[in-house]
Amino acid sequence: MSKSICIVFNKAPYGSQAGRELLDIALMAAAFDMPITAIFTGQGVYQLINNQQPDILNIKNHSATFKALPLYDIEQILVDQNALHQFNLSQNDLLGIDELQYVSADVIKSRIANSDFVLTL
Amino acid sequence: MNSLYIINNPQKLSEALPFIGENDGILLIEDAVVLATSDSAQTHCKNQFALEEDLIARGVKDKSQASWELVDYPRFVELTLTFDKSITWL
Repeated sequence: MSKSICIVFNKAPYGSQAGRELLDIALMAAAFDMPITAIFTGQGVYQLINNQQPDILNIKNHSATFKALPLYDIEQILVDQNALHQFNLSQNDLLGIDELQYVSADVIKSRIANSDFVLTL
Repeated sequence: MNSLYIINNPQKLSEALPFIGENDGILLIEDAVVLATSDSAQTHCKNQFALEEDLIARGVKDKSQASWELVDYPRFVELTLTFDKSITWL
């Protein structure tokens, strides 16, 4: 069985390239059939906000690509409920991706513990 | 599996804490070593380390709290082998 990886988004988009780069890594890892979990925690939940318009800053909108994660067989997408609550966000602020799972810190904790690699940027 | 969480930004420890188990390890490096100099950063984790060279560089080694074990670079490398994996939480 190939190694499993957790890709942890913990930064808001566009202030840094972290979100876009982690997304690229996730799609590449998918090409190697690695079991992948995408985790959105802290300010990383802002990566999934629905009506992003970074073109106003002349920045490419990578958020639309998050919808492609399931097409790449990345169906384990965990969204930290506490982070949503902390930033006064709700599910309908986010991109409409059916595979989004709204989970507690403990669910994330055990997924991280049981993965071979855990990556943040 | 037990993970060694490597933290280099003081603000990031609190973000990672909910996912850190008591048998995991926390290693403070670079700017994050300042957390070892006050008892404000209390965690439930049994294995708490801070990189000695970074404390010395910042002139605060003598202020480090007993709850944070000081390790040098060779011991840092050893820790990465002791735990099943390392997680650099940026």
